[in-house]
Amino acid sequence: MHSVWAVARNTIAQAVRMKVAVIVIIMLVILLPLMSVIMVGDGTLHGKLQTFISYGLSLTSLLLCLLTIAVATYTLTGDLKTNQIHLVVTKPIRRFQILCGKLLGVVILDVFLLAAFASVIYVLTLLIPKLAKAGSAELEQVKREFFTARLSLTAGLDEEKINALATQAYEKLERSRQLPETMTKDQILSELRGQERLRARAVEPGARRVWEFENIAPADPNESLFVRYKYEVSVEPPDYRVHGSWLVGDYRQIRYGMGDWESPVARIERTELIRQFHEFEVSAGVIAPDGYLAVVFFNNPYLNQTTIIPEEVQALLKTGSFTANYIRAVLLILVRLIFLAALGISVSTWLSFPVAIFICTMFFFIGTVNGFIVESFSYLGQVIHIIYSLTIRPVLWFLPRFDGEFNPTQFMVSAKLLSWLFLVKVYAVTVFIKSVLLLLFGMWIFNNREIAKISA
Amino acid sequence: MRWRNIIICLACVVGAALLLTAASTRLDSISSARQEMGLVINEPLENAPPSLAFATVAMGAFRGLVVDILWIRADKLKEQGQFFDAKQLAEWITILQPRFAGVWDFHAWNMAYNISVAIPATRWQERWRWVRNGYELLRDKGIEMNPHSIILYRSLAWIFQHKIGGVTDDCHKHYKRELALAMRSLLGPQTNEYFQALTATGKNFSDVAADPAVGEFIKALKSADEAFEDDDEFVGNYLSLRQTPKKFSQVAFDVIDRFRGSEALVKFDIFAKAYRLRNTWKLDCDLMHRLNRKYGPFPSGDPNDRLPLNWEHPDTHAMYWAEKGFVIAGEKEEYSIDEKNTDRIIAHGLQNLYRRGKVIVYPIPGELPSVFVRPDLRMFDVYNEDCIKRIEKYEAFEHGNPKGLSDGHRNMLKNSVLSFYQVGQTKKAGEIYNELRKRYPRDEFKDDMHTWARKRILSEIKGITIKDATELIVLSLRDAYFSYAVHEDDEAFGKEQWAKEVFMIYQTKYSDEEWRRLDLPDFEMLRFVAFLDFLRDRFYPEHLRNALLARIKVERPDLFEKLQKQKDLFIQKSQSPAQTP
Repeated sequence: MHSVWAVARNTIAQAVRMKVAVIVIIMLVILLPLMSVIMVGDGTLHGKLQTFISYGLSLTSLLLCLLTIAVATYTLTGDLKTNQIHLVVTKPIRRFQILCGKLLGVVILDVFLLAAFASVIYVLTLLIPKLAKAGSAELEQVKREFFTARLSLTAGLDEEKINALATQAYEKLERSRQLPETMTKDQILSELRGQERLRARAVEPGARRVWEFENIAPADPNESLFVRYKYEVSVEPPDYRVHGSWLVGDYRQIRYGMGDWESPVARIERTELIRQFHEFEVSAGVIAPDGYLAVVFFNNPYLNQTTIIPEEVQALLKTGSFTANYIRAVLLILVRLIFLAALGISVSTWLSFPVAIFICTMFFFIGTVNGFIVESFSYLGQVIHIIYSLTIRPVLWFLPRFDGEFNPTQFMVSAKLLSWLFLVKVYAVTVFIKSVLLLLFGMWIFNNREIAKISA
Repeated sequence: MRWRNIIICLACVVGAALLLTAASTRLDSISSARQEMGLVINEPLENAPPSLAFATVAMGAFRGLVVDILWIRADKLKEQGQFFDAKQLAEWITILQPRFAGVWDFHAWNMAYNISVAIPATRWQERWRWVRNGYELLRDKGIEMNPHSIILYRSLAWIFQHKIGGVTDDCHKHYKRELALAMRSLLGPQTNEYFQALTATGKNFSDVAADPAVGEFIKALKSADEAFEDDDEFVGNYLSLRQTPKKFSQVAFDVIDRFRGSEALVKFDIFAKAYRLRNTWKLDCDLMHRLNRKYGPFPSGDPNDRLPLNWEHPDTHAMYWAEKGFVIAGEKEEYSIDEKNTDRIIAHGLQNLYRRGKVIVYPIPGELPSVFVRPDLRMFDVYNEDCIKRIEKYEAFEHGNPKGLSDGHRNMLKNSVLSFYQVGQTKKAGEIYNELRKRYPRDEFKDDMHTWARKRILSEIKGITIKDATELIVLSLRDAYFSYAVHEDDEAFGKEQWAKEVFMIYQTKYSDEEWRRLDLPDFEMLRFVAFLDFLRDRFYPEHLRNALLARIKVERPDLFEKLQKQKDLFIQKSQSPAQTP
């Protein structure tokens, strides 16, 4: 351990002397405070905060990722090129310990820089409302919608039921000999499942749909609960608007006609545009004492003539603090840095510096669009889809994912809770599986590699 | 190094220098050829701020990539329903592609239409901010960067005409009110003399400060409050002082009091307002005055004696920007689809100013004022003149068949006859009817105007039930009460007379002497019912309704007495048992 720590110390000293580190540090020191002043967002305090934290964290993450790649790839390749490695390998230190020390050094540097700049962003975020001289209404709004962490509750479809209905429909078609001849059984079932899913999500005029949640414990009943959704329709209304009638609360009181109500039920009536996200706010006091909550949507036939499909319905409930959520977001950024550090050190055991940095940068950019690539493959034709499933998909799994739900800024911007469980899962997969595998691969190569080149 | 190598190197350097010099002499002709052939998408930005020039040049080939990334982010955030970054992204994209008019057009429309309606209607201030963001982007930056792009003028005019002037947005009344109040503070009495004064005043602060009397006023204000020390901020602070004196020291307001009524203050006041119109609203006072001369109403009948347009109305602003687009960006010998669309803005603007050009902003103590729009019959002649010109233009320019336009014009004239008749302006109604007969000689216009009007009323009430007839009369009376409440007494009288005429016609036609089965209630009773309806109607603010009651009590005690009697009778009838025939 002492040897590993010695290598780590050396690595940190080497990294700090690198010009790229100095440039990154100077850039962040200048840009972050500047951004807090020039970023105005949409002109509101809430928009300003969202813009600043989004760009602040993104910029910090980007620059630290590039710094990590540069340092991780250079630290070993530089030693190999300048033959300084010989001064190390001749000591009583195993080769894997050298790599571990390098990794530890890079990670400690990352932790230190990330902590420093994340603290700067945090302090500036807290200062912005004070400096902006916002009114009390705006301050109240940001307290509710930004400086908080809201748990997102979603209720999925009952896939078992859908499968059962699809199978029933298939059997019915089979009995009546109406199965299309050009399609395979899997294709037909897939289509029938799609139809059942749509049927389950669609709300015809006069019908209602209920989303039920259980075991919800709000931190404070006086807090607010937000319901977020988007409308799709079967036939577009001429003005692209539909009327939504919502009930939020203990729907059992209405359904079963209970006498005295124990908790209030909020009724919301709104006319809104389709295909846009909307949110409304109710008091968290609507949650029943036993933790039950229902969100009910009713398609009023007197006001709507089309089938409405409420999509991505979420109930957002305050369950944590902004600070804790922010810390978790920063830890999520650290995951990327650890992965890139492991990758950099691993590839630098067998590649030269330019090639190693190129590969790492490529991995980094793939990571930022990985979700998009994975999604785009779902539109492939069947044959290509099979090839993809057997070849590219496993490779894509191994690559990092830095977008979509792995992007911490989306949690901060919409004040969504980034749970410890999710963070632990990400660490388990990215750090303890992918990074360790990379490192082991690097160790194996480094162990078997001839370091001293014999020249005639 | 050997001599031979040195000589070869020198020869290469000299040769390179000569070739470079020769190539540079060709650069000017190549650039002008590119311009002529329209191969230049992004022209060099002249007089642009250094930051903008830097942004468009420094990135070189990467500019397209950065623009793509920004567009992708903007679209992704829009999909997620996040709009906090939309304005900033729009600004950056337009900085990187300033000469691409479509970019400005898209972002302005996105902010004014898509983003604004994503905000609930209960938060009208936020919605208004996004609508403003949209039109300010075009007005302040897009058009400045692309002064010859007619689509930007058209889009800007459209936001005013459709978004603010239309009724499709739930918050349209708020938008109308905010625009009207902003303009009201700048346009004073809205007389021709006032507009002339706006055009005649100086354009710069130094011009107006050179006047000795005004200079004295400026000096006094500067010494009264340090907020007025900076010349660049002086005008803005002065206008703030006039609107909200409490923001400044009492000494500053005392200066205003001291100079009140003086020529210096009047002069400076006009300058300040013209300055704000020019620099903030980007409205050229000369063009405003010309527009007044061209499209202003002429109720006297003399087209040379026009009143100014109503600049509190969004359609007037739409017409301004459409007209400006024609002046600066229109092609005289061509008539492209963009020009046609811009032309239509003016046509619809005049139509809207006629149909609902009167903006009534009713103040309510302690609350936001309420806004109502009503027809502005003064605009009839201008609108009519424009319709006729358009029919002629269509015939001459495109050799088309203007039947659609003619039919629309004829229907407009028919409705206008009734509108003027309804408010008691029978002479004007007669003039229009004569024009109608002359232009469209048809059997339906062979009667005199009064007979024709009565026939129209008959055709409207033909087949309707007693309930509908009652409703028609009561609605007309309620409208009359509203006109009376906002001190439009002539209109109020006209509508009351109209209601009475409908009542008489119905009674004459359908009254049953024997059983009185289809008789309408007494007209006085209907008047009372309409009055009660108006007092109970929450569409009108309570302050307005109470003000009406007070006004009737004070100014028309006879009517108040009649209403009081009707009230007693109403109560009496409702309490007495039903009488059997």
